[in-house]
Amino acid sequence: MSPRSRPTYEEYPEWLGTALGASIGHREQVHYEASSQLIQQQTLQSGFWSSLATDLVEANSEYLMEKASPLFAATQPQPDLVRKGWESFRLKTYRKNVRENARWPKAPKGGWVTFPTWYSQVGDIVRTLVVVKYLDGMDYVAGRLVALARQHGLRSRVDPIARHEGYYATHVNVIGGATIPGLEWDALQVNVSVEIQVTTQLQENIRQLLHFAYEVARQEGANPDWQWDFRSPEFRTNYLGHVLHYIEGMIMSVREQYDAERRSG
Amino acid sequence: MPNDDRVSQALKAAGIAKPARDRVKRAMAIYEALTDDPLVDAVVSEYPSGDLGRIHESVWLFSASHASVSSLLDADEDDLDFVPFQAGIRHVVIRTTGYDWAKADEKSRIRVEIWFAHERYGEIKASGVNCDWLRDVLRRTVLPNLAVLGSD
Repeated sequence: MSPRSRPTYEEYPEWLGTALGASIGHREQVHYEASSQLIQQQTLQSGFWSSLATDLVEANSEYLMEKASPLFAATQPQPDLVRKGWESFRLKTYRKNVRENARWPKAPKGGWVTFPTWYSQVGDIVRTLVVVKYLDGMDYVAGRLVALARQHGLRSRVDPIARHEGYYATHVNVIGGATIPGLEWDALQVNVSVEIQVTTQLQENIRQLLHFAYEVARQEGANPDWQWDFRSPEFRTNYLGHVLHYIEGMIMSVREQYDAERRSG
Repeated sequence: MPNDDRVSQALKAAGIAKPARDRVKRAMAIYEALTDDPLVDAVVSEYPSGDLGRIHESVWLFSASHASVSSLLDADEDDLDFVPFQAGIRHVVIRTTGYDWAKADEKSRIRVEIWFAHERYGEIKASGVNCDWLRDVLRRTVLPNLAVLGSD
């Protein structure tokens, strides 16, 4: 492998050792399993998480009063906090370090994603999903989450996501401290984030249908010619995502027109 | 020594209380459901973490033929590994601080890395009086299962 060519996923562990003196074997997996469980536990016990369900109920009431439409498609239950498994985490480090690294062969923005700094660099070790009914609900919920984070003394970051493969969502990362196993003795304090993915009902339906296709693309890399390859699964699924986003925008236009007529009438 | 005595002593050395104690009992119940191999030893891997107190992360259960590690961190999931001793323990790395190997105090720490065949890895941590217990487990159970070096 020449220094400039990107390693495949199979070559990745060897490349990490040779190029960065880092490893990603069973030892790192053992540490990750313990650390991610602790991060999940501590997030569930945090003041922010305890307030989240109540805040979403209040958000729904306020949105309903303002827009005469519910914020959520159904009664929003207590969000479920999901922990990222080791294989998915390992793949994510590969995507950040290699496949999606725009600065290759230099380190990606923020530095190489290796043990132990990776706990702060991978933003979705724990994540949850909030599904809204309409497109404008995404910004509305994101604003509420930022305010709730601030109330609990936490930083946050909002990332509107619009991927060429037709995935549209808003990711809100709320950043706080966590205690994980130390590298030598006792415990280590790290900054970790909980990723709250906010998406619409239509996009969530698509995501569930296309989850398998997304996972394959993440692992094998996207088909670079999918926009022309109308027989490929990516052509169907990706454009379906874009079309749905367009339809949701049109629904919003119609709704805003009715809202304006309702208020003037 | 009967299984339960060893496990009870291990729990006492680790200063373990409910609900982690209940998870250890569950790990033992699963162990007994899966194998007739009697338990010969046990140790709880734990470390201090300031405000969170001691974090009890896993329990190691040993029989004559294998080691079983069960995570104590997740109340909703069972998470067990079984590793055979047939191929032997390949490498043991032991690090200590504040420990004289005679009698532990609150500053004592041991960290043991155990490497099995095929690069499988396990880690046991102990603090305070649990160091004395781990020392004894190393002497009677772990180190006697170190494989004779040979071709893989």
